[in-house]
Amino acid sequence: MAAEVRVLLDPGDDMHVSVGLLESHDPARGRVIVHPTPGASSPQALAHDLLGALGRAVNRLNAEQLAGPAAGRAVTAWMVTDQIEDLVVLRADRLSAGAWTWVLGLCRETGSRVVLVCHTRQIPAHLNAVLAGTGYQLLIGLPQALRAAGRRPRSRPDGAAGAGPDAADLPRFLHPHIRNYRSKAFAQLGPAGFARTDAVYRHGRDAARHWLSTRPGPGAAAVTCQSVQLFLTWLVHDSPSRHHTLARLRGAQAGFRLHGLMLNIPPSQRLLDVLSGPGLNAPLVTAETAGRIRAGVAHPVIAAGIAAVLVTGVQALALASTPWDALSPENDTLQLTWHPPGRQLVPAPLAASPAPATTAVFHVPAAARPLLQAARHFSRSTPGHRAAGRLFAATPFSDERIGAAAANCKVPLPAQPSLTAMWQIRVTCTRVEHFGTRFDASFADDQSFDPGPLSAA
Amino acid sequence: MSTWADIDEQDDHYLGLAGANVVATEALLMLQDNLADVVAARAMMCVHGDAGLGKTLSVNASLRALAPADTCRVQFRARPTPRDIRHVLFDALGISGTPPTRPIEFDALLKDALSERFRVLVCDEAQWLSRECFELWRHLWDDRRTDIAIVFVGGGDCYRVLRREPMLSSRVYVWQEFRRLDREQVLAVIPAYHPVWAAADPEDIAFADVHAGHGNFRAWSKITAHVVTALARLDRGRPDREILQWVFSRLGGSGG
Repeated sequence: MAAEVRVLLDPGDDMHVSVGLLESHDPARGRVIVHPTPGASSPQALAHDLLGALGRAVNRLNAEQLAGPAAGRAVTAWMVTDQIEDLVVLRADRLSAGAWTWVLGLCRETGSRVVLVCHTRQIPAHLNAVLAGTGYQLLIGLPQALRAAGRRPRSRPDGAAGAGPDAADLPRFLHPHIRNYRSKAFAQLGPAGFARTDAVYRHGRDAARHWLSTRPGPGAAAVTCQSVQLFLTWLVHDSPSRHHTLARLRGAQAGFRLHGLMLNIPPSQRLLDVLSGPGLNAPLVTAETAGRIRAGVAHPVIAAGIAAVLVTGVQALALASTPWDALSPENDTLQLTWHPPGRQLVPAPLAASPAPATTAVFHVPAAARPLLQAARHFSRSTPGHRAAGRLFAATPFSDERIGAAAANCKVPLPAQPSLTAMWQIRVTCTRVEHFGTRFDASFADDQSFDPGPLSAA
Repeated sequence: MSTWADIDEQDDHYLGLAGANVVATEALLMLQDNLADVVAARAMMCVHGDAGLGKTLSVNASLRALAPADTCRVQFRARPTPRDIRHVLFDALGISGTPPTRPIEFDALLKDALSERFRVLVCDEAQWLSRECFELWRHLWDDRRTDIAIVFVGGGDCYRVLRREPMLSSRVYVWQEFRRLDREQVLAVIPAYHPVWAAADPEDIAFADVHAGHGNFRAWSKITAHVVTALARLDRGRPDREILQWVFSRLGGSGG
């Protein structure tokens, strides 16, 4: 695909041209104006300037190993992911022919239009040669350059919806049985505590019923262990506290029960005090968090690494060997499989047979997906890339490196060292049409439990 | 390099001449008006003229009144490089830590500092700057985040150097040239410039200007310093032709 190339001549080096174009800089709407660093004319320097123009941090280029040619690939990845449609290069007459060649290739690859601004009477001869065969259009004057951009309004995924209206923490309520959960909650928490807890419970129950109603059928494939984990981690990923998470999960249990399914979750006390994972200690990746990552990191794989650490709630090292196929093509699901450590002394005949694999599934919030998509694009363009390779192979991936990058973004990372404490791997789901008459009668009563007007709430 | 914080008001005067006053020349009054406009517009200005005509003193005095807390003055003695300018600004802006080695990182840091609050950057001896150096100033000024006005001050061919750069000629909001004082201005200004001239005979002042002052403040500063010495040694109250002849002999001027 040929790049759409325009050259704007600004022979008077008019302030209004540069300032007018700079004021049209709006990456969120797909328009980037790059203002090259004075005295730097190489393709690499331009790539660094573009990273800066895209809003990426340029203060750790060495630490992120982007001082070399990788910077250009990072630019390509971010341009594609951020859906940059228009690129304007100011002071283009001061760049090298190599930089022009690179930027034309960049726009071919990303499908972006480019305007090269020469603050000269004509295109310098050595740069004009680079344009041969591009069919470029010559623009004169700022209005023409601004019109050429063809801005289109576009919205970004907003990411997680946030904590919702009931962000104040819920009272501690450990009752383990769904057959009389609501009535016990009223008895133990009183009208106000019940009202708040029950609202969260019903949110979980209704979400579960809705999700189950959209499953393809009653067969075994309809509700797999992985799909249940994915639903539950989605359900609690934006939960504001462990107590909210527990109430949502209890509600989900009720919703599953109403569909003839028995959903088992870890004991209340362990969910509140011991276990880890989404909704418990994994920080929520909001659009604001993703924005901070974008502003603090230039390397797409490192940015994706921070996002993955936040989504899973475990330290970077635990994710270092994650294969590409752990991430769904839509970047909305992360499925991590590992073999838990077994006994220290293994009989020789069993040495070659590892312990059964454990799988933890994570919902990836919308705000984090573009970061993973950029990493995907970057890694594919890495020389020697293997489709079956590791997700984070394109950069050294350690707790220290990811921690330093996250610190530059002012994003605190979770400290959980491994996946073994994830709550969702302890979830089971089985089809049980009949739980027993007493259970069903009690459950039905509890579902219709109505404490009357909760004025005290 | 020097920064505003290093400069005492008395140091504005050539030789740090004790007792010298900042006198309200027409050029100074016009400069005050121009600087006020430039500061209000966050614009660029060029103050040019031969050496010794009071450009730097006038800019310093005006900004000390106009934007004392916001002025950051840098000066170069030899042909600086963009790297020199970055480092000088790093120091002048009081940025802590180690200066970055990579220009893009350095510029990002400077832009961050220059976007924190409004500043007037005074670049003295601007005639020494190369095209690359002007590019850097322009780059910082064009940036959407930075909140700065830039005042280039230069002698010699500063005007020609800046004018030949389209990037600056299209951006400089006010050009102001400092010229030599004519005889009428000398007679009006010099008695107020220093107490030793307050009671001097205007004929003697004109005589001094013809032979050594030449309407140039720096020359008048030297004359005044020697007159102060002579009056003290001879225990006299005001300069006369004899004293002026002695001063000229020290300056190498003709006493005709």
